[in-house]
Parts: sequence; C-alpha cells; structure tokens
Amino acid sequence: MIKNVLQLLEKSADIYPEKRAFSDQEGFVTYRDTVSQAKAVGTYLTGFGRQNSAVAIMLDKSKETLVSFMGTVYSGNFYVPIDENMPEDRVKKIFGVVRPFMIIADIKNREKAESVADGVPVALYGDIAVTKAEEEKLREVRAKSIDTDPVYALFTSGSTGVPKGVVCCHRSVVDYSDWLVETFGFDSRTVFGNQTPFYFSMSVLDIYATIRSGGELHILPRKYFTFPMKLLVYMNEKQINAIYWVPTMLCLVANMRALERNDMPFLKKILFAGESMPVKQLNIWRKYVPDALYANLFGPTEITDIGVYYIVDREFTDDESLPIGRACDNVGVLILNGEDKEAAAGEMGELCIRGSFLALGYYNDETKTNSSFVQNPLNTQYPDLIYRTGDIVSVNERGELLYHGRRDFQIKRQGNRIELGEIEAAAGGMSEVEACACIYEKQKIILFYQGLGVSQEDLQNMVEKKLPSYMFPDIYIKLPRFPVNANGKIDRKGLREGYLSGEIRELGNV
Amino acid sequence: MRERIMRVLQSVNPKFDKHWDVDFLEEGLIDSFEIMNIIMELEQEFAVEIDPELILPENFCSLEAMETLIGQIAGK
Repeated sequence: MIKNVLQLLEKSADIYPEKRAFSDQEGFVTYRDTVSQAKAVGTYLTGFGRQNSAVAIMLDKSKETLVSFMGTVYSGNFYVPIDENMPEDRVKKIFGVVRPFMIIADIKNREKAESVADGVPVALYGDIAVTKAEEEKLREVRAKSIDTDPVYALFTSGSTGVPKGVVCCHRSVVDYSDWLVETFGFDSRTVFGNQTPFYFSMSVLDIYATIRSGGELHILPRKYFTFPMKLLVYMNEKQINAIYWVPTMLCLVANMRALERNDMPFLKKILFAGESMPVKQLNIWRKYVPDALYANLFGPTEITDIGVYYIVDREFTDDESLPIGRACDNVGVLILNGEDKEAAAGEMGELCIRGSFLALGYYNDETKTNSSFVQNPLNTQYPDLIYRTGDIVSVNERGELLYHGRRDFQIKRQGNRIELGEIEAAAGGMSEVEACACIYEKQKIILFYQGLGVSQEDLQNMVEKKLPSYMFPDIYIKLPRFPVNANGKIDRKGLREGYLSGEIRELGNV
Repeated sequence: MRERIMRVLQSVNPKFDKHWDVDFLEEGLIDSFEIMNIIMELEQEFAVEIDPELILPENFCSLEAMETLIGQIAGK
C-alpha cells in the first residue's frame, strides 16, 4: 500500500541506488544520496516535535531544494517553497498564513530568511544535511503518517491581496504520479529538463513523475532561456528527453528560430500547460521535432496540477485553437451552466473537477476553501466534493473540451496565474490612492488609478516592492475620476472600452 | 548607430540608461522576453536579419557589443 510519497522515492532508490535523481548546473545527487540526505534533514526537523506543520524552504533553485522538500516530508511535515525572487512583503504574508516552525535556507538567502523570519528559526541546508539520521525516529514518524496528510502548500495569487496556500496530500500526489506514468510512459530513462519554478504546481509533475519512475530531473539554468540557441545545445548535452514547460518558453525558442539550427535527437516528450499554446509556434516545434509526443495539459493548482489533457493527434492550422482534451483517468469532470445544471452538448459552462486529485483546501482559510471546494450540486445523497475552477469550457463534436476563458478576474501571463485583485490591493495600499482598477488587454496589465497627490513613480515603486515581477503592471493610467456603473461600482467594462477605443489615454508618459 | 540602438532598447524597456557601463545580462538588466523584443526591433530598425547562431550573450551584453554585431551583419 502506498500511503506516502517517500515510498515512491525509496522504491526507486532500492532499484536504482546509483542513478541520478536530481541534477543542476553544479552537479547531481543519486537516489541513494537523496534518501540519506533527506533522512538527515528529516531527523533534524523531528527534533522540533512537530507534525503536519509547515517548513518554509528558501533556497536558490537547486537539487538541494528538492532534497529539502523530501527531508521535510521525512519529518512528517509539509514544505512551502519560497522562491528566491519573491519580494519580502509577499513572503511575510505567506508566513502569516502558514506559520512555519522552521525555515531552511542556503547561504545566499540566509539574510533574507532572517529578515522575514520574525522569530522563526532559520537553519542552513549545509549544516542540517549532515545530521546523523535516526532510523528509529523516522520510522515512528512514518508509522503515524496517513495518505491524507499534507505534502506541500503552494501559494497562488489571492484576489484580496493575501496569497492563497493550496495544500495537497500524499494520496493526490501519488495518484497523480500514477496517472502520469501510465499516460506518458515515463520510466527510468526519462530525463526531465525542468523549467517551472518549484512554487508552481507544474513542477509537481516534474518532481513526482521523476521519483516514481526512477528517472532524472535536471534543473535547466534560468539564464539559458534568454538565449535559446545555448539552451538547446545544453539540453542535448544533458540528453534531456522530456520537458513540461509553459507555452511562453516554447514560443521563445520557436520565435528565436533556434530550432532551425539545432537537432533535438533526444527530446521525445513535449508537454505544456499553464496557458494557451499558440498553434503557430507549436507547428514550428512539430516541424523541427516531428517524432516527439506533444500534449496540452490543463488544470489549476487546486487539483494538484492537471485534470484534463490532450495528446496532439492531428494537424492544426496556425489559426486554430488546441482543445484541452479529456478527463484524466480517475478524474471526474463536470460542466455546470449558469443554473448549476449539467451543460448540454456544446453548451458553455464552468469546469468542475471531482476526485482524488483535489487539494485538501486553502491553508488557514476556511471561508475561501468552502466557497471553492463545494458539494456537487447534482448530488444530494452523500458528500461529493467538487472544485469549481472558474474556467469556462464546452465540449466539441469529437467529445473534446475546449477552453473559452475565465469567469472572474484571474489572468495568466507567461503562464503565471495572477489575480488582478492582488495587484489592485497592492496599489490600493497607498493611502493617497483613492481608487484603482486593473485590466488585462493585449497581453498588457493596465493599472488605472485615481488620487490627486499620486505620482506614477511613487506608485510604481511601491507596487513593485510588494509584488513578484510577473505581476508588475505594464501601463499606469491616472484618471481624474473613474467611470461607475448603476451600482456605484467601478465600471470595468467602461474602462476597458475606453482604453481600447483610445478615449482613455496614457497621461504624461515616456 | 549607438543612438539608434539606444532608442530601440528604450522602446523595449523605458528604464534603459545609456550610462550603464556593465554587462547587461550578468546584471539581469535584460531578460528573455526583452531580448526577443530587442532582436525583433533591431532587425526592423536596421533592416537586417539576425542569424539565430548570433543570438548569444556576448553579442548582446552591452551597447558596444550590439553595435559590433549590427555593423557585422549590415556590412555584408
């Protein structure tokens, strides 16, 4: 019986002890060493006597980060990845929600960790990874762990300004890793070229498909993505044969014409998710890497990673859209229309997901959890939880799901999930700002603001201090007065129309 | 030519400062998306096509480097 993700790691370590598990530019760590270093970290953490509590991981993206994750789970707790680029303000908000009892950091991030710690102890990875493992203690911890215990909490954008922590349990992750291996055939020869950050749900695929199959996860250096020619050469050196990237990165490589000059003989599986994959760039990839399997995956963090998928099985013209496909095996898909009834064939409705992939909920936020993870309205007989994704979909004549858009103010930019409300909350935090509203048009985030004494420079500096860079507005527009609708609320439609028609212009820019 | 390159850089990133005397890439002053836009704009501004094999850090790390690159291509 598999009730803990560590069993996936340990099984691979039994069969392939000397194989590389995780690697980065600096080097690699074998399965055997991953287990022993993770046990060392885990033993250290058990000294605090905590169970099912949060450990914040503040390391630069590296193989050590992954070992820290595993180490946290060895101690019977869950990990919270904190990216090196997250602004302090945001980290503090996350800590306020999840209250870690420990922060594991590396030398580079130690100072930042200490300044956000607020009393929480900070341990250096290098110091704790050499702790003498206490097998008896770890066995005790494992005996108490059950498959509905949390493995990690990934924080996503929160519309009110506070990030939401999605908590997932062992069962969901193990289930997901089973589906991945069965559907895509990952095995011990798989070498992932990881692009997605570890606070992103997409990285769950990379990590757990790897340890389940005994493959290798190689962290691609971020700087190479600026120069696709170098990236492809590097990927061939490392013999990367599987990737799971956001479409923006695939487009970058296609647009810079790097595929024209580089054969990719090893690359066999090209998966993508997080945003719509433009068919024009997909076709460029298909032209130069014709023998690979291409798959479009779809799902929110709240269902571990993916609920619906489409393996590209036919030609598409540049102007067509890719379907998002069908439900994963063991995932229930429900499309609810405006009346909360099942949508008819071809009718648009909200995509709702049922099943074991569902996260436990949002950490320390009962209200938001209860409004998104709800009882299936079609079932009045027994508890049957669904997650309402907020994505609007419909089914085509082939039985494939098509994506139509969101029903709220969440957007995706370069694969990053952004609640426009979080940007508004950041701007609204400035006392002189009387009102503000954010829209997203033509791939640009536009922030409208009202306030006599507010200068764009001050507002911009303040906003950029609070938010991660992918959330920075592209255009700031100061308005003397906001258009309001009949309810006295900001007329966002009016703002959008005014902006597109040119009536509302950028004032005093460049 | 340097002025024209500067204008292109500023159109992609208004914060661009011609007084920057550092390696743009090492210092993280240009990121992957900006590089793509810069290349597209440079190709348009100078009516050249920048061969993918020339899209390397050493050719984009400073104003001087970009000037040399364009000079090389345009000179052909």
